[in-house]
Amino acid sequence: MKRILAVLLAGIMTLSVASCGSKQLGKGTPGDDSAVLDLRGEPAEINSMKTADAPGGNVLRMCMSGLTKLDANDTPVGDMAESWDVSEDKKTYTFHLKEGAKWTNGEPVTAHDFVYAWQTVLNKDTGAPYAYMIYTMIENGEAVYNGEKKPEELGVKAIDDYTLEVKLINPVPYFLHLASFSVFLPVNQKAYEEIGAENYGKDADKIVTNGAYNIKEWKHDDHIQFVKNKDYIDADQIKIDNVKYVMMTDQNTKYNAWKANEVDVINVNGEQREALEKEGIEVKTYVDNGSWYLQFNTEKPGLNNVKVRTAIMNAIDTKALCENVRKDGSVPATGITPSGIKVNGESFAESVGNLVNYDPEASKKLLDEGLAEEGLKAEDFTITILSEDGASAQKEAQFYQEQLQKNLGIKVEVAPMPFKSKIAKMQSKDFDIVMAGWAPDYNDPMTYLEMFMTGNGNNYGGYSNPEYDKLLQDATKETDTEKRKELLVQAEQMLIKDAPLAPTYFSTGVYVVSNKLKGLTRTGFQEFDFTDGAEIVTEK
Amino acid sequence: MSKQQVYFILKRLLYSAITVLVLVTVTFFAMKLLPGDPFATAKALPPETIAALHAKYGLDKPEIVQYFMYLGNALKGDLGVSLINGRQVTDIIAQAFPVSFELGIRALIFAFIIGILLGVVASVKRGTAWDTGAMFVALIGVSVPSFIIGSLIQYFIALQLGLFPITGWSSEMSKVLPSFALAFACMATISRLMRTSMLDVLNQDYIKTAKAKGLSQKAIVWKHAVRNAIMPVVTVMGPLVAGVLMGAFVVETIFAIPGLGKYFVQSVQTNDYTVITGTTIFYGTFLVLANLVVDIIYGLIDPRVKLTGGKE
Repeated sequence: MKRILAVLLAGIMTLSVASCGSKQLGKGTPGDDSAVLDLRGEPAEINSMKTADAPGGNVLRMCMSGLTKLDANDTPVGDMAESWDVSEDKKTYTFHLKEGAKWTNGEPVTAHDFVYAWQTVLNKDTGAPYAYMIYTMIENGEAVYNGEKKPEELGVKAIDDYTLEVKLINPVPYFLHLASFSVFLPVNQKAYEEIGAENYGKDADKIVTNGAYNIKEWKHDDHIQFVKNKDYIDADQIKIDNVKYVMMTDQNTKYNAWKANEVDVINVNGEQREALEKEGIEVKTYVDNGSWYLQFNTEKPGLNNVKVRTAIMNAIDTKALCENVRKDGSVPATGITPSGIKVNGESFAESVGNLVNYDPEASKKLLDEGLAEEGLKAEDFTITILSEDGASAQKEAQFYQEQLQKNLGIKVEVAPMPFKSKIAKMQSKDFDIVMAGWAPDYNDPMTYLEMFMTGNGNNYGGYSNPEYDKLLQDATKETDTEKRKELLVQAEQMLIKDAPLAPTYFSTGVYVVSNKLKGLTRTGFQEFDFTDGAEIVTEK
Repeated sequence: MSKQQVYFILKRLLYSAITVLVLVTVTFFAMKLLPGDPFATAKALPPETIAALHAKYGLDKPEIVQYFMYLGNALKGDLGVSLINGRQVTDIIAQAFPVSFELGIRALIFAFIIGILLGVVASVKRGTAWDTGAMFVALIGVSVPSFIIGSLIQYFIALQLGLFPITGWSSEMSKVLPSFALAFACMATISRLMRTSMLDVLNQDYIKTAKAKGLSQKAIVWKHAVRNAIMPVVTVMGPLVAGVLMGAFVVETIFAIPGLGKYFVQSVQTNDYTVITGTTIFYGTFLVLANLVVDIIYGLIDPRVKLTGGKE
């Protein structure tokens, strides 16, 4: 028995020594024309008209090409569109498409493919979650969606095969940015009808694409293998021939797989970031434009008072939250619109200024004043914070609980629950405070500000201020971009002053890349993009 | 097969069908009590879009109508489409179940062989270091959950020693660690059961007779003792198969294996009604049949057990 044990131990030690030498941390996956990246989950379906999930959006960015695409700085540049003209009232866009682009079934990419896709999105049978993006923006959209007008009456027309005219209801300064979004991508009518709406985008052989990469293989819940599309209109700019997106969900598994050089890019959490930095590995970050906050039910006794809400907002040490709890590079929020959102080329958050000021003493005073106005006392005031049931969300909720109890002397309970249950509670206004977050649909503060308008479907806390609504309505109609920006700045300042929410932090994406991969784009609008010059650098 | 045996099997099949029907009915109405909407996202969709989606998937009809429509379709083999990814539930099962099944079978073979061996060794060498060692392994297996075992062997054997890949389900090598991680608990149960049962058998008179006849230790253990001692193990194989196939979710997640466990668990979190009922019907039917098969095998191994429903 002892002898067997001794032999076993000796064997294990020899193997460990041998393997330590062979495993170079950060070397990356084998192969000098391929990269492997963690997609973080299986895409729902790869049908641009219906995609609403992040993995699906990432896959579409690889294999589909729209009117515009975002460059490495999130600035829209022409993709299928060679150029465009904008009318004086900024409500009509005329796109001139590149000639010679092809679908993977050999058909040419034309203006008709865009018209077909947008009309199909507005057909309720399609079941497109993002249909509202088209019908709230394009002329006659709502009437077409509700069947009151024919699809042909939608404000999008193919003037000829390579000229597309789009008529908007109001000027939309970020329309070129939006034109790169999945719901605005073209669809090849012949392919869609041949494959059938119910099957389209469900497997690798059931989708026809026009982008930089073709989907070679899709093994569900396992991986998607892309190969460079040699017929892509800008194929000479694509430098990596093979890209594999693997689907891993467990955070430790990703970490081990990256260390074992089975994957080139993974996102890491706060603890893993610390561990990697200790080993001398460079960890990268990007502003992912996630804005996180506590949303108040403004109809609950106590929380209906703006002083009480403001006191709660300013009683939370968000710096400590970012540094000691999240530890992932998140930064304290200064308002609702995060720093990565730009208007006229400048960070909107900077124009607005810092609206959140941690001050426990002043907050306690303000709270007592507010509660007294409502006939309440701090020691009798109990609130519940709804959070999701993941470990990090609960840790965060406990931090808020501790801060509010300590700094304000009120009683705080935490109610963790699954995501869908939380949404259901929010919809039925069955909450005091809920931990919520928002990722932008487009590069404009409006994506955050509009959800607090009276009656907006996302305005779960029931906030209503006619002056705020008017500022946003005026901004929507304003054609002068500077004046529009000024209106939006005023709106955000008014919003945080009214405090239907307490901004907490702007989140950051944290990731590691193997040494072999350079030039991968990661921004708040492009979780991954291989088409801005990503390349493989082989070590000599 | 006698007439009585055929009658027994037919009767059990009928009971099985009723069990599955009750299971579907309870699942169907219970899942509708789950708070939340399958189409709810962090961004609220306009009510008309939600209404259009509900109409598209028939969720706007009364629940009882939905239930009978679902039953009718299920009898025709149509389990509907996933509300989350739009794929046919039957396609999802057809793609993911073979992976889970293979993982489960590999784990069972692992568990069965090693479990029996450990149990036999422990009982024959009762009171020695072999016995203590084997039962220590069994104790770990019973008390440490598979996600700990999985994470530990992934870290030490795959990452530190580099002997196996960390993730995936493609090469033979990639299948070893997940099968082992899944097998561990099951193996422990089998070895403990086998040890107890062997000790019991080894004290029986006929073993003493065999010894007196001068048979070798090997022949006594493997020919005479094991065959009888294995009966209790076969009895628990039904529930063990269940445990292995249903408990795979954690192991599948740790080793990034594209199995069915994920759908079974996540469908509940995402209110993906069709996938919830589809996977439940599938697993339910599978388990009911697995138990039936075990009962039949039991009769074949032990002639004393008659497949007659106990009225002899």
